[in-house]
This record gives sequence, structure tokens and C-alpha cells, in this order.
Amino acid sequence: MNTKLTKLVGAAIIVVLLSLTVYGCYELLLNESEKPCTAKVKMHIIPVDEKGKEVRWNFCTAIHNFTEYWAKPHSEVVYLGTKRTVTLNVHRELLIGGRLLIHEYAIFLYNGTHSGGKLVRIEPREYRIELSIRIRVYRVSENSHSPLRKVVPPLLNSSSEPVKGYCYEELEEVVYTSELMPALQLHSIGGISVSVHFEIGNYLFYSQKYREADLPGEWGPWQTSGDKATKSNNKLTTGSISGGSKKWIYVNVDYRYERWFYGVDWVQWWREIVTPVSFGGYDWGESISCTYCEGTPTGFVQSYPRGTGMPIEMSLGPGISEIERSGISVSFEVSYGVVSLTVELWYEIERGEALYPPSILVNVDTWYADTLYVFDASTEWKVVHFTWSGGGSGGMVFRRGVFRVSDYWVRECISWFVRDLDLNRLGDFFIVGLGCGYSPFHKYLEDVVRVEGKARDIEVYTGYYEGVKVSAIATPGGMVHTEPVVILGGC
Amino acid sequence: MGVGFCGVLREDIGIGDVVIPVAAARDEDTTDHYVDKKVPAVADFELISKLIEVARRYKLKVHVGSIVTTSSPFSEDVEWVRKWSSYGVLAVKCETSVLYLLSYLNNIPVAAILTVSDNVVKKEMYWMKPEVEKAMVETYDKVIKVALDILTEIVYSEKHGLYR
Repeated sequence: MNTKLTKLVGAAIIVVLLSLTVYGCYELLLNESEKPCTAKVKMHIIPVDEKGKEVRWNFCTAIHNFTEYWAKPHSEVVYLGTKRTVTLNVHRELLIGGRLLIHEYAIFLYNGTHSGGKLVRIEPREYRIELSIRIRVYRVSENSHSPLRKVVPPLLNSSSEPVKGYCYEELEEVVYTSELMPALQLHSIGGISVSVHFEIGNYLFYSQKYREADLPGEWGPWQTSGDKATKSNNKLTTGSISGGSKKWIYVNVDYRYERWFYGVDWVQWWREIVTPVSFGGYDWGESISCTYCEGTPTGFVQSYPRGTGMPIEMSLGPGISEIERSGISVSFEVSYGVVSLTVELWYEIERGEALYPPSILVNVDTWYADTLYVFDASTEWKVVHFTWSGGGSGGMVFRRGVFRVSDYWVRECISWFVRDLDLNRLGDFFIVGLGCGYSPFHKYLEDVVRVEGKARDIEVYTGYYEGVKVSAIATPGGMVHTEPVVILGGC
Repeated sequence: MGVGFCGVLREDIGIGDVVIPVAAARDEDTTDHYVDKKVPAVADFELISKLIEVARRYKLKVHVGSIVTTSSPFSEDVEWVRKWSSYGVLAVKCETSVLYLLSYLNNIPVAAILTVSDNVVKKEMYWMKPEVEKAMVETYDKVIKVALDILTEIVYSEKHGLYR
């Protein structure tokens, strides 16, 4: 009997152990199989002072996920605690065209005396990503119009000891509003008509703002956490302008207001966050003048000979990220009254979640000359300018020739070969080695500089041979490299 | 200016020799996306003339003629080699017809100079004999200089109104 019981108990233990092992294996398998779907993003959060020097105090860290998806009502707190290094599992969502969804997180730091915030954009291309994120923190008294409460800052008592501060964040109110905001400039010259087209998912960038209060109604100044991707929520082609007219296009931007009650231990504050979410619909803005149109083409230039098929489609961006327009007003009616603030439009356009970037559509109504030059005046195609032939060219001209591909792809190809799309880095002549190895290719050039762009399998060197500026371009073999080489030769 | 290697389809051309293709047969379909198959892929005549002249100045063993470009180097069986060899084609090189035709269509003067790295008919590769490999590397170095010399001559000639 005892032997039987022992065997029974033994069998039961084995079954339990086996089940645990199987479950463990299943978990492991699940984790492994999930690998391609998620990326581990390790964020080293570094609070810095006005000189950019790291400050050693402890902070509560609140990470809000601002990645927009359908019908998302408000941001979500994905981390709340006192760690300086935080690892997030970020979903790798494949978009049409092979790009991954870009995630946006606003990181807020606070302790009894200082606070700061920053918006971070992450495209989880790798499975493991490590980021150092420096966040400027301000004295709360600099932010707030009211004196600080006379309390002991709970997270400031020691710089090195771990602090068991109880951090909390609670959502109090969410309000949406919609405002007509400047989006981009549309230029025309005589003989052409021009419109702009947005795909669903294209991005414009407007600033995200936040402010804090330690007493109700005692708000500090608005701070900028960063430039927030604002998504086009419908396919939109504007009407056209022509005959030399130049105007701003305004789009209807949906803004979201969130008020969070937050704090650490017994110290509490309020934070208001204003986030641009999406845009759709348009209106004409004010007329503008331009010193580039009808002048000498500068920056990146494309030429279109008489007889080119219409419409000519010029892709916009991507490029520089700096403030283009400030002082644009946004207002919300919230529970305690009207909240008004000014935001900024950023000098930046992205194709975002769409297959194609926003584009300018050009129709030539009358050929004033044999060639229409379209150029960006070094705005990285944020603003598109036009001139008819005869003005000469201060920029690098791409002759489209037989290549029917959109200029967006042309620019992509060129960016493989030359850094920053700066064609001035290239020589007047090319020696092209298709599939013939890299090492000896530039050996006879003097003052050699390596200039290739994004491609990992292409090497481009520019140097001088008896005073002649030559680029030696070495690529792997195959037709797939030959076409862009000729495209480059057309520049 | 295209600089590279090629495999020859004739027994009498050795590894380390130089092939200057005046035209390339389009046994590929990339260029079919642009123009009808009847349009030839040819080099710029003046560049070819200069290449021949400068290459001979460097005492390179130069072969001038047509080559074939294939989009599938791993399907070159004996029959394929025999066929193109019987047409009098000198060599096979993967990209030349695309480079020539697209440059021609875009009004970009182009020519290529190729160092022979293998003999497809005799099934010989440069690495089989060290002395052959050494000769080939020396030729390739000279070929790069030939290409560069031509560019400087073009600039000089343009300055003096001699070219185009």
C-alpha cells in the first residue's frame, strides 16, 4: 500500500514537474515566437541642467505612450516609477511599403523641486534598441507662478540612495478641439498650376506642449516636449493656384487636451498636455512673396523638358527639423474655463505611415520656355520653387531622361550614393566599378574623401586626378545597381 | 566610365588582357522596360576611340568588339557559351548593356574597359595560377589609370575645343 502511495505521489510530482516544464517551454517558445513582433527598447533617462550637465537627484519618471491608433482616447502611462533605465516592449507593426510604425513616447520627470519633459520618437527597426535620452529639467519655481509648497521634496533627500517614492498619475480630463493651422507653402509661376496632395498617414509636425501647476489654477508657462507627428486622416488634394500666385495652405488639425493629476508621496501637481493628433481638410491661407521663384535654381534641381507628361509630381520632404512658424493659437474649453496656448509648425514633412510622401502636383498650362526647372532652394523639398529655363542653375540639376519613377525614389537612390543628398560631394566625372571590388578603386586619386550615403554595399570616393574632380563609385554587380548609377550620372 | 572584369568567350583571349566593348548584346530584360529590344546598347564612339588609344599607350593587350550582358550569370551553360561565342562576341559582363543603353538614352557619354578575369570557353579562372592572378591585378591597376587619363584628356580637350 505504502509502495503504491509512494508511486502515486511520485507520478503526481512528475506530472506537475512535466506540466511546469512544458508550460515553461511553451512560455519560452511564445517569447521567442513573439520576438519579431516586439522590440525591447532600453531607455537610459538622463536629467540634465541648463548647461547640459547630468543632475544626480532622484526623479519620478512617467512615460506616456502617444503613439496614435484608431479611436485612442488619450495617452497611456506605460511606465511609472523611479528607475533611470526603463525597458519597454515596443510593438513592431509593419506598415505598407515595409516601414515600421513609429512610436512616440513623452517622458516626464518630476521630484519636489524640478521637472522636465521630452517627446521621443522610436522606429523599432532592431529587436533591441538602447537610447540615451537627455531631458532638461527646470526648477518648478521657474515653471510656476506660485511659490513651492513648503514640503520636504520626497525624492530629493539623497542622490545615491534608492528612494521608495510613491509616484502616481491619474487622468482627470480629456478634451478635443480642431483648429486651422498653417501646413505648407504653395508657389506658382506663370504658365503652371500647382496643388498639393496628402496620402492617408502622411505626417506634418506640430509641437506638443505641456505645463504644470502645484496649486489649482497656478499654472507655469507652457513648455515644448517636442515635435509631434501629426497624421493625415484622409486622402486630400487641394485646389490649385497659378499665374505666379503663392499662398499658405492651412489644414484642420485635431488637438487633444489631457489633464493629469500626478505626484510623489504627499506632494501633488497637475499637468496639462496639448497634443496634435491628426489633420484633414484644408483652407487657403495668406498670400506670400518669394525671392527664389523665377530666379536661379538652387539646392536640388529637377528639369522637365517641353512635352513632359502631366502632372509632374514632386514628392515633399523628408528633411530638416526646425521651427518654421511660431505663435499659432490653439484653444480648448475645459471644465474650469478656456485654455489657450501658442504652438509651432515644424519645418519637416514625412511620408509617415503612407506608401508615398505628400506631393506637389504641377500642370504646365503654357510652356513659357523649353524647360521648366523645379527646385527646393535647400529646403529639402519642404518648399518647392519654379523657374523657366534661361536663369542658369546654381544647383545640381537632375535630368530625368527616360526614368519614369517618381522623384521620391530618385532622391532615395541618390541618397544611397551621396551623403546628405549633397551632389557637390561628387566629381565632374564618374568611374564606375559594378561588381569589381572596392579596395583599389580610388588608389590614384588625391585628396580623397569618402562620400557615399546610406547604402551599406556601395563605396563612393571623390578626389582629384591631375586637377580633375573624379568620383570612383564601387557597387556590387547586377542591373539593380546599374540603373541608379545612371540616374546619378544624370545629376 | 565603366571599369570592371569580364569573362571571355574566345579561346585566344587570355586572362589579364583587356576588352573594350563597343556594344553589348542585351541578353537581359532590365533595358526592355525602357525601349524595344531592337535598340542597340552602344558606347560613346569618341570615348571608345580614346580608350583604345590610351590603353595601347599603356601597352595593354586590347581586344575591341561586342560583348554580351546577361541577367543570369549562373545559367551560362555550355550551349549558351557556344551560341554567343559563335556570334563572334568577345566576352560576357553582367551590367554593360544596361549601363550603355540607359546612358545613351539619357545623353550621358559612356564607355567601359574590362579586365579579363576568366576564360569561359577554357574554364580558366585567374586564381588558378598565381602568375596569372598577378598579371591580372597589374592590368586592372593600369585600366584604372587609363580611365582616369581619359577623363583628364577630355577636360584638356574641352578647354582647347578639341572634344565635342
